[in-house]
Amino acid sequence: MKQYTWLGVGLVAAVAGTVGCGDSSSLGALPDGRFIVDAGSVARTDLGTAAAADVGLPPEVEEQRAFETPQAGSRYVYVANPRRDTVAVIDSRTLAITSVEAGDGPTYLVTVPERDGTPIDEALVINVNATTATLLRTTAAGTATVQLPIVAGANAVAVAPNGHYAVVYLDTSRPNQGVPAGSFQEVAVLRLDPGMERGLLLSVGFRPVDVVFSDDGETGFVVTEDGVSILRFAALTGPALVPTVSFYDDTIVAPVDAGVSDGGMTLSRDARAQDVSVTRDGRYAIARFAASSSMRVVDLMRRSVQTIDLGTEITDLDVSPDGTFALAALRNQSRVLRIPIPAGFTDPTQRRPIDLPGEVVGSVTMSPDGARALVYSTAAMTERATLLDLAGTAAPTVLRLRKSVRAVAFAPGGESALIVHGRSEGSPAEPGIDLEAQIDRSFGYSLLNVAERFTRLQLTPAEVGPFALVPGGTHAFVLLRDDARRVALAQRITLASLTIQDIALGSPPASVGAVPATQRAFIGQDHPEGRITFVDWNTGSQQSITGFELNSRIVE
Amino acid sequence: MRNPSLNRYLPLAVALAACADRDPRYARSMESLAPVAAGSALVYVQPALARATVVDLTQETPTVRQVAVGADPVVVSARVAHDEALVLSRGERGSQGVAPAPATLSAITANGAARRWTLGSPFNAVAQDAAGRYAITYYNNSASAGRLLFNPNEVAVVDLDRPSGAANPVIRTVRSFGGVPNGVVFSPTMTVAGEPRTLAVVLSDAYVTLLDLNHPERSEVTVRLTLPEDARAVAPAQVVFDTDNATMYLRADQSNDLYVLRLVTVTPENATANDFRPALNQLAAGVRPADLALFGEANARKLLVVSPGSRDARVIDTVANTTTVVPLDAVANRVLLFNGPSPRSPAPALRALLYATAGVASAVSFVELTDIESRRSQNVETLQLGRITNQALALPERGVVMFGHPTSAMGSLSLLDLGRRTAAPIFSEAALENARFDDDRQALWVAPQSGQRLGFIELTNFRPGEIRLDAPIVDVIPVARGMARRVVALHDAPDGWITVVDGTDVTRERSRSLRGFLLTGLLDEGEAQ
Repeated sequence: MKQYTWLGVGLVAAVAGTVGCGDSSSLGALPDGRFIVDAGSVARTDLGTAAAADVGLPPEVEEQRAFETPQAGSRYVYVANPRRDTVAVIDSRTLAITSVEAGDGPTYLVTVPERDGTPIDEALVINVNATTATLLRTTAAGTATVQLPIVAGANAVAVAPNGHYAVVYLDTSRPNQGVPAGSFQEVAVLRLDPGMERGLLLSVGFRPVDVVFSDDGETGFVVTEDGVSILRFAALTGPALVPTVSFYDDTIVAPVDAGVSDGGMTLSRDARAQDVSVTRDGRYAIARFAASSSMRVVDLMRRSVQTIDLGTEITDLDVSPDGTFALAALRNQSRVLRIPIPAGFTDPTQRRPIDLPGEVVGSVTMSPDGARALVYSTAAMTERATLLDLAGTAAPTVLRLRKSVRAVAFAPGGESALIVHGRSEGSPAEPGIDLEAQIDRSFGYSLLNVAERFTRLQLTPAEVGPFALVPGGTHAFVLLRDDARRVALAQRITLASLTIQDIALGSPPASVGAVPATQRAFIGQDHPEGRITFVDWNTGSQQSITGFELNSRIVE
Repeated sequence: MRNPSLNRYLPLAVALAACADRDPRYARSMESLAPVAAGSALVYVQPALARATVVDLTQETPTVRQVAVGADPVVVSARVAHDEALVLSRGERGSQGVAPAPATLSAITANGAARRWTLGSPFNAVAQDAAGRYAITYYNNSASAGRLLFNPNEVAVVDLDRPSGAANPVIRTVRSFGGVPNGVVFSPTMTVAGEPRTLAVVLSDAYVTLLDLNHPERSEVTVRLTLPEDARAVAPAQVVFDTDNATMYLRADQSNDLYVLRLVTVTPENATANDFRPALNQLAAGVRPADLALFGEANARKLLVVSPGSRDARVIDTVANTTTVVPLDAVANRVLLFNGPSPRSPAPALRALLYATAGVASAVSFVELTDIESRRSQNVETLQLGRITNQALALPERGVVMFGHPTSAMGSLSLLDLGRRTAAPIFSEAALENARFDDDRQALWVAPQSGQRLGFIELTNFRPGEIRLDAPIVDVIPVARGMARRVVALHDAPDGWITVVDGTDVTRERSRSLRGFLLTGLLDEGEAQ
């Protein structure tokens, strides 16, 4: 399934090299073991706490992340200011602010967290009023900029893990500045190495929706409606036709009234590949389709497609971080299917079912090391999740959560997880309702200590907003915001003890992330002049700066 | 009461003024600007005569001297921390038969010595730093400068310790975003970029301008307080300096945020660039913050802010920028920090009194600052005074605050003992805004408008007293410094009329009246013509 698209993902994706603008397909284990987040939708059907099979449950619904939110490099935080054509660069150590001129309308900003394993402070921002991106490179001497050409209307950036390349494209599923005239089949490949910066425009499949990379960052895979376009960066020295491998085997497609018949399976004409994952070695891409029992395996080297019918609707499909197996959630059968890669593609006997009778198995989230997974449903208001031991032989453990599940995030080491809950309609303060109803109607989340199978429910005064887990996984930050009730709060969670510290904020929180070099989390807030609160994630001490918009206007 | 009057000149002047075809100089106004003390002297300035009259009170018999100042003097003020008076003159525009003259700033001592700096432009306001070293002259929101063209953002920085010269004063035009200077405040000496220096902060609507007075050749730094699309009339109203941390805190009308300017060391790009740059921050401070004070160690500095709009006080950790809201039972718009005991603890500690001067509260709040962030309201004690407070005079060194109230049967003043937290009424016919302290704050002097009685309170024992003088009193000016305490009562007379009262022996016998000294030299001037 798609990774959850909150800002919490920003940190994950930043490390994975797919920061910023949109979903990032699962690519297996992250280089430094940082966390993985999965989420689904708010449930619409209450099946109680021990629902079984789930015929008729709605599909998962994606959530969109906001743009124009601060992004962190190793030490500096970058805030795009499209109204002034500048980017504020905030030193998380000294809180000094400098304003750097970008292009016309800098809006979508991502950071380049490292290059060849070395943490760096670079940011790439798309200038929406010009077909350019500005690369900002910050050192102690200041911030230097380079302008690079990009595609018109671009709103998404994916940065390769090695920090050498970025792919800029228009993702029409995300907030954009209006679809420009022209093609939906163009991406810009940017070389980011100092002194070698350049941009190259290339044609790819129709409507790119995601870009993922091989583990070494030398190959990019543009996931489109047509299939996967393969970018072998070293070979891209000039205009070239990018090879695209279709999800569909055109040689056997035959039109029928109900849709298209492909590989013996009938797919809707509007079928779109979902949960597209690429193995770390870049060999395989796998995808599922909505309301279909089929999954597709694309051999990206041989450019061949294989259809695998698992016999019942696949509601989630993830590849393990190391790329050695995939997990398919078969909700109608209360089953998770472990599919070895590649043996399980062709030999059904290699696939190992994990049956969870009585549970609604709609979604799967694997820990960053692939040793564990949480199985749950975001479509049913089941107040349970099941912990799977993927590395050992321990039996699955059913966790009683007391509230329905909306999203799950594992800490980098997989030793703890944050479970965001949904809520039922109605006010928890309504007189006369019992405690159970109060809990169900409240916002909240649970913290899970994996080793102890211990969960702590935390009700919150507002909907759980963006969250982040810090590198190393010692702490997490959750944002809570309700403007009508003047709730502006962040919670700092110490994962070793599952204790929570409330941090009152001066204005509504909008984004959260981590700055590794200073071990601080930053909390961007909605304030006319711009406000960020830095929190030392080890001590909880805080520092806020407000007015970096005004800072940029100090003149001498 | 003896009256060694100089009235003998007055009839002569009147007689001369009555003559036909008289010299037009005899028709000049005798009006003077409000006098100021310059050490042991009183300095009057008569604009029409372009002269200052220095009444030296050092000796038993006052000495009167005249000193020429620049044409069209508009401001006279005591030089801070010096026994001098500063006179700002706008100069002469020039007319038929009258040569133009530039604006000047004059410093006049008690013995009549004068120094003068040429300013060039006809400024109408002057501000000084806390050491009296620097003065800045500027246009104070003047609708008309009385000139064909004038630049309202021009200022002159005068080093009062140096003589007039090519580099003194330094004439500057401060950068403008549509506004003009409303005022100038000066920092205490503070270390910025490793060097002790004094900054001038020019306050304008929606922005402030920083001038490094130690390096006047360097460019000014302008800090906007609002974004261009923000139409609020944010007017800087108060600046508090943290000299240990090279930081200033600015409160502005129409803003619920405090502005923090931390002066960060930078490498200057050229000879005229500054070696610091302000990093601006904003701190939420409730609704309509009205006053603020800094407290705490240098590495843990905190701000105490009162915000009458939200009826609370706020403690802001200036390191973390975290805010603790302390609700108040009584609205307050002033903060007084004092070191003293409390009824529960005889040990002196830093505490705060929060009170109102706007006639909106009849109670004050005592705040224990220790652990205030965790204890919040537990650290607040409200004391009912029983009457609305509309004025206050703080004497923290004596552990009291004197409050003024609307006149009532309970008296119009009360004396609040900060240690005992008790309030005692004092009856007074005079308002506190007319009260004046001695230089050494041994006594407080008051005089009801147009009354003949001069009242005082000995601040060592709060014993009141009064003396009747021979004429209505319009103002009181204590003069001291190196001499016995004296208080000068000013009477309304164009020829100059004062009564000098011995502050240590307030009797009519020890008082001296002096009249007509503003006429001194008029005949000589006429004869010289």
